[in-house]
Amino acid sequence: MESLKRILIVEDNENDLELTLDTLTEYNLANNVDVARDGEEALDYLFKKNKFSARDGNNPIVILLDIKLPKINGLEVLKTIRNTDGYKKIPVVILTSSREEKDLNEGYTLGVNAYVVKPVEFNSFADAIKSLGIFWAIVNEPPPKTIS
Amino acid sequence: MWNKIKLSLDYKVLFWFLLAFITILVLGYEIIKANDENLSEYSFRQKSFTNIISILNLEHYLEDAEAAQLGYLITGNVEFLKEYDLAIKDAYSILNEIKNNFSGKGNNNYIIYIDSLMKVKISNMNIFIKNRTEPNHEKNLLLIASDSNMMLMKNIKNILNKMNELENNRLKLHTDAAAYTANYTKTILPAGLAFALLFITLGYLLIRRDMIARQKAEEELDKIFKLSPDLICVIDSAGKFVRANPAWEKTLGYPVNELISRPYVELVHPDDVERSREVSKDIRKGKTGYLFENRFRTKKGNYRWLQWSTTANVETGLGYSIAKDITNVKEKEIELRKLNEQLIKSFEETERIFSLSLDMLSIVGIDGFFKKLNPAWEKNLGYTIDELMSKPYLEFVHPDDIEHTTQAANKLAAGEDVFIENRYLAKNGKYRWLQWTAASIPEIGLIYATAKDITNIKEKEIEVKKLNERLLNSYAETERIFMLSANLMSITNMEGEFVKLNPAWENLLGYSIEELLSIKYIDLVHPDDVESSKNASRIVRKGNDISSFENRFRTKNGSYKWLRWYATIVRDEGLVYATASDVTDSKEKEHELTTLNERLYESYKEMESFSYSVSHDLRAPLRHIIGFSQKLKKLAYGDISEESKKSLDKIVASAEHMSKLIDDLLHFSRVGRSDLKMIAIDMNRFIVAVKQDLEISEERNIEWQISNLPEVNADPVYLSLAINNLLSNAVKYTSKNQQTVIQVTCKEEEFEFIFCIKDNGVGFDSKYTDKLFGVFQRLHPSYEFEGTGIGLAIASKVFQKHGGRIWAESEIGKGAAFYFSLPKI
Repeated sequence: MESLKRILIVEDNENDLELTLDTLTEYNLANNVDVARDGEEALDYLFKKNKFSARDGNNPIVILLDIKLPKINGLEVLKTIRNTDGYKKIPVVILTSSREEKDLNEGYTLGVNAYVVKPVEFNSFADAIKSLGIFWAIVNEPPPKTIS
Repeated sequence: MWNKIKLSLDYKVLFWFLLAFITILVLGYEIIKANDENLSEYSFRQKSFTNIISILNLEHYLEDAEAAQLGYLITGNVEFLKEYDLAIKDAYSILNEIKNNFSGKGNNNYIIYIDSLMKVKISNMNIFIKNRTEPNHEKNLLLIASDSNMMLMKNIKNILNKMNELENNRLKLHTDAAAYTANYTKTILPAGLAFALLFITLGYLLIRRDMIARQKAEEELDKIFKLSPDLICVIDSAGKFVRANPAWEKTLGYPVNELISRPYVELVHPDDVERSREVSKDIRKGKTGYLFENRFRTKKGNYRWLQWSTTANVETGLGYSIAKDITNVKEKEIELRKLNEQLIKSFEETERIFSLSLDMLSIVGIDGFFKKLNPAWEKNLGYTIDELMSKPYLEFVHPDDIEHTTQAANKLAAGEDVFIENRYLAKNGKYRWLQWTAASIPEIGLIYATAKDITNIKEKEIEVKKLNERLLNSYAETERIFMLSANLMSITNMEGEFVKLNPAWENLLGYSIEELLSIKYIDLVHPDDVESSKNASRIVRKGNDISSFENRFRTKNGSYKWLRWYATIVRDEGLVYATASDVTDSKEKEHELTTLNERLYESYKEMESFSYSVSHDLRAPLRHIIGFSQKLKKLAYGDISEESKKSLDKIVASAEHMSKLIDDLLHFSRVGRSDLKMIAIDMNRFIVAVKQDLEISEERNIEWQISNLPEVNADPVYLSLAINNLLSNAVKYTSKNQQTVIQVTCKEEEFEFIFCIKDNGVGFDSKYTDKLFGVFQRLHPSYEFEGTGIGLAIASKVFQKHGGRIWAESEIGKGAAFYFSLPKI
């Protein structure tokens, strides 16, 4: 079912989230989006814990992950995903303001699928979100399903 | 005399047998001759006997005739006449016989006498007989009785006697002669036989002696054959052993009977067989005097070298050979050959050593000239060897050294070894010190000498001597320095007790020298430094010097002084020599510096996290400003005035400019912090790639002139950042041109490449060149040319980090040229 193809956006910044969702809405992708506000929520969502314990459905087809997050930062979330059976194959895209080499290196070392710097210029930002959404939600074939 | 004339035995035997033969021949001849003589004597005697008988018969017949005449005369019986006639007749026949036999010298007279007397008688008797018939026959009787008649008969008888006597003499003579001959024969026959026998015996003796000698020789030969240590053998024409002596068994281990009938080739070493056969063939053809060597297998299976001397009888085909076991000789020979080779080698080595030796080797004659020199001479003194040999060596010797050199030469002449040093004049006019070791062999009048160039050592020696003198002289000075030095100087023993201290100790620490000499240094060390000080002591005692070890010493007033130590041990003396300088002041400064450093590091860390959070957090609000401005513009489309839209656009533009500023600042700070990842970069392709990244308005008409560029070693990320800034500047400051030309060139220097990016844009006033590369420095107002003022600062930092530099040349309105250099790979 189409509704099962979910995108998880992990973003603490309301403004960025709004702009992101605006863009996805424009391309009819917003209905498939779930949002986590920090690293902890993101992991809860994935592992169906606490407020997400009732969530049904499979793993998201892609996670758009910010790095600077409250509680648990994006890189730590990524590390946990990559070290957990049943989750390690979920495509993860880091979507962040930082162009710091340190972050880039660590992201790729941990096995991120793509690293996208949020452009300041709005149109570019919108283009980036649009391409990511279309690519990961429509074009890309997700990894074979695993028992969670 | 026979001994003198050495005739062969054959001749000697022949001589004696010839002598015997001749003797027998002579003897035979003599006997035959004697026999002949005897035979003739016999016929003579036969004749004589006949004659004697005839003479006697004649007398007898005459007497018969006379008797018969008388009978007739007396009686007149005619019977007597018959007898008478017979007697006369016989007398005449006998007389004829006598006449025949009794001829010869001296005898004829007797025959004539008897003949005539007999005729007279017979005629007388015939007359008487005739008278008988006459009357008066008695008268005849008278006549018969007459003397003359009587005498006549008597004369006849006398002559006959005489004849008889003569004949008897003759008979006796011949009988004697025959006796003599017989006697002679009787004498010479045994004598001759005896001689012949003697000669034959002598010959036989000679033969016998020779035979004995031969037998003896043969026995000796046999003995030699049996006893000979050399291998002797006889080989038949088929190459098989016929005879072999016991030496074979002794040498090769084969019993003689095993060898006989066996081909000798079977025993010859396979490698020697062919040659052995050839030699054997040659020998059978009659070649002699061969000394040939080959190897024979022993019964045990190893080989012995044999040296053969062989001859052959061409007719019988038998070969006679003597072999000597020369294995030992052969081995010796091999050893000798090896030795010889070694000798040659060692000779060559000696020659090589001679020519390669760095020492100067020489052979000097007693005439004072060099006889042989090695190349080291040429090298050390600069002369050719011919030059050195053309003059007496003394001419090269330093005048001051001639006397003891001559003495040394005299010693050498007396056979003593000599070790001296002297100076030789080199070709360049300087003297070189040579150290000589020389020995002589007076019998051949040669001196063998090696010389070592010790000029350097000698000079050092002289220097050392001088130094020594200086040292001795300056001992007092040292003492003085020791006394005056502001540094602490100490000598301590292995137990750490002070042995000697200079007055600086008193000055710095406040103790008297006496006080210090009564304690160990460790007593003064700050408790925190005791461990490290003991450790330093151990290091020194092990023989390692320490330098700049630092610790604190307590002063008399209880405060501490930082001392920096230099120490070394003199093991022979068991003493540690140390100096210490008071570094208390610098130690305090060092402390200040460390503090400062720590503070700096802290602020650096802060800066890092600052730039990190700028990267993350400062850009987000800008993004939001822009994002929401756009959203607002879209949402309120038609509801807001054109002016409000322009304001919204300006908000967006400002936010974008700030974002650019932040990016550039982050770049700038990152260039300073990062390490470069250098790779080889082909600048031709690199420039083109950077150029393609530039955002250039399509309306621009730009002519790019890029010459051939070299390969450089650089970090591609930062190099692209810098070149991007330079190229985008060139594009930017030519934006008011109708026709734009941008040149990229490169000049190769010895250690670097100098690149130039030149445009024909607005340029700048060269008096502000210094400000060009500072952060936020701009030479143009931003309404004319937009920019952050950080680009060139980043470029400058990038090239600095690469070990290059950047500079610019320009005039207002005449374009600008930016140069940057990169070191060659």
